[in-house]
Amino acid sequence: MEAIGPVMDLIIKGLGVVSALVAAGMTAEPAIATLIDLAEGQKAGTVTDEQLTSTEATLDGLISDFNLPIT
Amino acid sequence: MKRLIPLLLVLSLTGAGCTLFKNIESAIQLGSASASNPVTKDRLNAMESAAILIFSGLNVWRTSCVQGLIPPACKGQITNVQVYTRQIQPYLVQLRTFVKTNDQVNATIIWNEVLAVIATVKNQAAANGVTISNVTVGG
Repeated sequence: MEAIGPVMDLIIKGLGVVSALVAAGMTAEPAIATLIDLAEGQKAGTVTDEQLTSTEATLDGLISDFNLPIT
Repeated sequence: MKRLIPLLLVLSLTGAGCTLFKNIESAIQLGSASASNPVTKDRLNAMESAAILIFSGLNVWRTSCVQGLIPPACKGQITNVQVYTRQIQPYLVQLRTFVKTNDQVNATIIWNEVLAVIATVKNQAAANGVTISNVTVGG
Protein backbone atom coordinates (compact mmCIF):
# COMPACT_ATOMS: atom_id res chain seq x y z
CA MET A 1 0.00 0.00 0.00
CA GLU A 2 1.28 3.40 -0.91
CA ALA A 3 1.75 6.16 1.61
CA ILE A 4 -1.42 8.11 2.27
CA GLY A 5 0.25 11.52 2.18
CA PRO A 6 1.01 11.84 -1.53
CA VAL A 7 -2.42 10.58 -2.57
CA MET A 8 -4.20 12.87 -0.13
CA ASP A 9 -2.10 15.78 -1.35
CA LEU A 10 -3.10 14.94 -4.89
CA ILE A 11 -6.78 14.77 -3.95
CA ILE A 12 -6.58 18.12 -2.18
CA LYS A 13 -4.81 19.74 -5.12
CA GLY A 14 -7.28 18.09 -7.43
CA LEU A 15 -10.16 19.72 -5.63
CA GLY A 16 -8.58 23.05 -6.46
CA VAL A 17 -8.41 22.05 -10.11
CA VAL A 18 -12.06 20.99 -10.02
CA SER A 19 -13.02 24.34 -8.55
CA ALA A 20 -11.13 26.13 -11.28
CA LEU A 21 -12.75 24.04 -13.98
CA VAL A 22 -16.23 24.71 -12.61
CA ALA A 23 -15.45 28.41 -12.28
CA ALA A 24 -14.37 28.42 -15.92
CA GLY A 25 -17.59 26.73 -16.97
CA MET A 26 -15.73 23.65 -18.17
CA THR A 27 -16.60 20.04 -17.55
CA ALA A 28 -15.04 18.80 -14.36
CA GLU A 29 -16.38 15.28 -14.65
CA PRO A 30 -13.10 13.55 -15.56
CA ALA A 31 -11.28 15.31 -12.75
CA ILE A 32 -14.01 14.47 -10.25
CA ALA A 33 -14.10 10.84 -11.33
CA THR A 34 -10.33 10.71 -10.97
CA LEU A 35 -10.48 12.05 -7.44
CA ILE A 36 -13.18 9.54 -6.50
CA ASP A 37 -11.10 6.71 -7.93
CA LEU A 38 -8.07 7.93 -6.01
CA ALA A 39 -10.02 8.05 -2.77
CA GLU A 40 -11.54 4.63 -3.34
CA GLY A 41 -8.19 3.19 -4.25
CA GLN A 42 -6.69 4.63 -1.10
CA LYS A 43 -9.52 3.16 0.96
CA ALA A 44 -9.10 -0.24 -0.63
CA GLY A 45 -5.36 -0.12 -0.10
CA THR A 46 -4.40 -0.74 -3.69
CA VAL A 47 -5.59 0.14 -7.13
CA THR A 48 -7.52 -2.47 -9.07
CA ASP A 49 -6.89 -3.31 -12.68
CA GLU A 50 -10.34 -1.95 -13.46
CA GLN A 51 -9.50 1.40 -11.83
CA LEU A 52 -6.19 1.54 -13.64
CA THR A 53 -7.88 0.87 -16.96
CA SER A 54 -10.42 3.59 -16.26
CA THR A 55 -7.71 6.08 -15.34
CA GLU A 56 -5.75 5.24 -18.46
CA ALA A 57 -8.78 5.67 -20.70
CA THR A 58 -9.60 9.05 -19.19
CA LEU A 59 -6.04 10.28 -19.52
CA ASP A 60 -5.74 9.04 -23.08
CA GLY A 61 -8.90 10.92 -23.99
CA LEU A 62 -7.73 14.15 -22.44
CA ILE A 63 -4.30 13.94 -24.05
CA SER A 64 -5.88 13.22 -27.42
CA ASP A 65 -8.18 16.21 -27.02
CA PHE A 66 -5.32 18.53 -26.19
CA ASN A 67 -3.20 17.22 -29.03
CA LEU A 68 -5.82 17.87 -31.70
CA PRO A 69 -4.62 20.40 -34.27
CA ILE A 70 -5.67 23.85 -33.17
CA THR A 71 -7.29 26.08 -35.75
CA MET B 1 13.63 4.70 4.78
CA LYS B 2 12.63 4.71 1.21
CA ARG B 3 14.13 7.37 -0.97
CA LEU B 4 11.56 8.92 -3.16
CA ILE B 5 11.78 11.09 -6.19
CA PRO B 6 9.02 13.60 -5.72
CA LEU B 7 7.81 15.10 -8.91
CA LEU B 8 5.95 18.29 -8.34
CA LEU B 9 4.36 19.92 -11.26
CA VAL B 10 2.97 23.35 -10.87
CA LEU B 11 0.76 24.31 -13.69
CA SER B 12 0.97 28.03 -13.83
CA LEU B 13 -0.52 29.55 -16.89
CA THR B 14 0.17 33.18 -17.39
CA GLY B 15 -0.58 35.79 -19.98
CA ALA B 16 -3.19 38.40 -20.64
CA GLY B 17 -6.69 36.98 -20.67
CA CYS B 18 -5.59 33.77 -19.05
CA THR B 19 -7.24 34.43 -15.73
CA LEU B 20 -9.02 31.11 -15.90
CA PHE B 21 -5.91 29.48 -14.63
CA LYS B 22 -5.22 31.49 -11.56
CA ASN B 23 -7.01 28.90 -9.49
CA ILE B 24 -5.05 26.07 -11.07
CA GLU B 25 -1.73 27.53 -10.06
CA SER B 26 -1.02 24.96 -7.44
CA ALA B 27 1.41 22.18 -7.00
CA ILE B 28 0.29 18.82 -8.25
CA GLN B 29 2.18 15.82 -7.10
CA LEU B 30 2.57 13.56 -10.06
CA GLY B 31 3.93 10.56 -8.28
CA SER B 32 7.17 9.18 -7.07
CA ALA B 33 9.64 6.57 -8.14
CA SER B 34 13.31 5.77 -8.14
CA ALA B 35 15.53 2.97 -9.25
CA SER B 36 15.34 1.51 -5.76
CA ASN B 37 11.57 1.87 -5.52
CA PRO B 38 9.55 -0.09 -8.04
CA VAL B 39 7.06 1.63 -10.27
CA THR B 40 3.97 -0.09 -8.90
CA LYS B 41 0.46 -0.01 -10.28
CA ASP B 42 -0.46 2.35 -7.43
CA ARG B 43 2.30 4.75 -8.41
CA LEU B 44 1.40 4.50 -12.06
CA ASN B 45 -2.23 5.23 -11.21
CA ALA B 46 -1.29 8.21 -9.05
CA MET B 47 0.91 9.61 -11.80
CA GLU B 48 -1.77 9.16 -14.43
CA SER B 49 -4.39 10.67 -12.12
CA ALA B 50 -2.24 13.74 -11.66
CA ALA B 51 -1.77 13.91 -15.41
CA ILE B 52 -5.56 13.86 -15.80
CA LEU B 53 -5.79 16.94 -13.62
CA ILE B 54 -3.02 18.64 -15.55
CA PHE B 55 -4.49 17.86 -18.94
CA SER B 56 -7.90 18.98 -17.70
CA GLY B 57 -6.29 22.36 -17.12
CA LEU B 58 -4.46 22.28 -20.44
CA ASN B 59 -7.74 21.55 -22.19
CA VAL B 60 -9.34 24.57 -20.56
CA TRP B 61 -6.48 26.60 -21.99
CA ARG B 62 -7.01 25.02 -25.40
CA THR B 63 -10.79 25.53 -25.34
CA SER B 64 -10.38 29.12 -24.23
CA CYS B 65 -7.98 29.65 -27.11
CA VAL B 66 -10.30 28.07 -29.69
CA GLN B 67 -13.20 30.17 -28.42
CA GLY B 68 -11.14 33.33 -28.72
CA LEU B 69 -11.34 34.12 -25.03
CA ILE B 70 -7.60 34.68 -24.81
CA PRO B 71 -5.14 36.41 -27.15
CA PRO B 72 -4.63 34.64 -30.50
CA ALA B 73 -0.96 34.07 -29.77
CA CYS B 74 -2.19 31.13 -27.72
CA LYS B 75 -2.53 29.07 -30.89
CA GLY B 76 1.17 29.16 -31.56
CA GLN B 77 1.91 28.54 -27.91
CA ILE B 78 -0.31 25.49 -27.80
CA THR B 79 1.12 24.17 -31.06
CA ASN B 80 4.59 24.43 -29.58
CA VAL B 81 3.57 22.58 -26.42
CA GLN B 82 1.82 19.90 -28.47
CA VAL B 83 5.15 18.93 -30.01
CA TYR B 84 6.04 17.56 -26.62
CA THR B 85 2.69 16.46 -25.25
CA ARG B 86 2.38 14.25 -28.33
CA GLN B 87 5.45 12.36 -27.15
CA ILE B 88 3.82 11.42 -23.87
CA GLN B 89 1.29 8.90 -25.13
CA PRO B 90 3.78 6.49 -26.75
CA TYR B 91 5.80 6.54 -23.55
CA LEU B 92 2.69 5.85 -21.49
CA VAL B 93 1.84 2.84 -23.61
CA GLN B 94 5.27 1.40 -22.94
CA LEU B 95 5.26 2.34 -19.28
CA ARG B 96 1.89 0.69 -18.67
CA THR B 97 3.08 -2.51 -20.29
CA PHE B 98 6.28 -2.63 -18.31
CA VAL B 99 4.53 -1.95 -15.02
CA LYS B 100 1.87 -4.58 -15.63
CA THR B 101 4.49 -7.16 -16.52
CA ASN B 102 6.63 -6.00 -13.61
CA ASP B 103 9.54 -5.25 -15.92
CA GLN B 104 11.04 -2.81 -13.47
CA VAL B 105 14.22 -2.19 -15.41
CA ASN B 106 12.40 -0.90 -18.45
CA ALA B 107 9.65 0.73 -16.39
CA THR B 108 12.27 2.83 -14.64
CA ILE B 109 13.90 3.73 -17.94
CA ILE B 110 10.62 4.84 -19.46
CA TRP B 111 9.65 6.67 -16.28
CA ASN B 112 12.82 8.69 -16.63
CA GLU B 113 12.02 9.34 -20.27
CA VAL B 114 8.62 10.67 -19.23
CA LEU B 115 10.35 12.93 -16.71
CA ALA B 116 12.61 14.21 -19.47
CA VAL B 117 9.65 14.98 -21.71
CA ILE B 118 7.89 16.76 -18.87
CA ALA B 119 10.99 18.84 -18.27
CA THR B 120 11.07 19.72 -21.95
CA VAL B 121 7.38 20.59 -21.90
CA LYS B 122 8.07 22.80 -18.93
CA ASN B 123 10.83 24.68 -20.70
CA GLN B 124 8.98 24.94 -23.99
CA ALA B 125 5.78 26.09 -22.34
CA ALA B 126 7.66 28.68 -20.32
CA ALA B 127 9.20 30.02 -23.50
CA ASN B 128 5.70 30.55 -24.84
CA GLY B 129 4.14 32.27 -21.89
CA VAL B 130 2.87 29.20 -20.08
CA THR B 131 4.90 28.35 -17.06
CA ILE B 132 4.99 24.82 -15.78
CA SER B 133 7.39 24.99 -12.92
CA ASN B 134 8.64 23.30 -9.78
CA VAL B 135 9.41 19.97 -11.35
CA THR B 136 11.68 18.58 -8.69
CA VAL B 137 13.60 15.37 -9.11
CA GLY B 138 15.70 14.37 -6.16
CA GLY B 139 15.80 11.98 -3.36
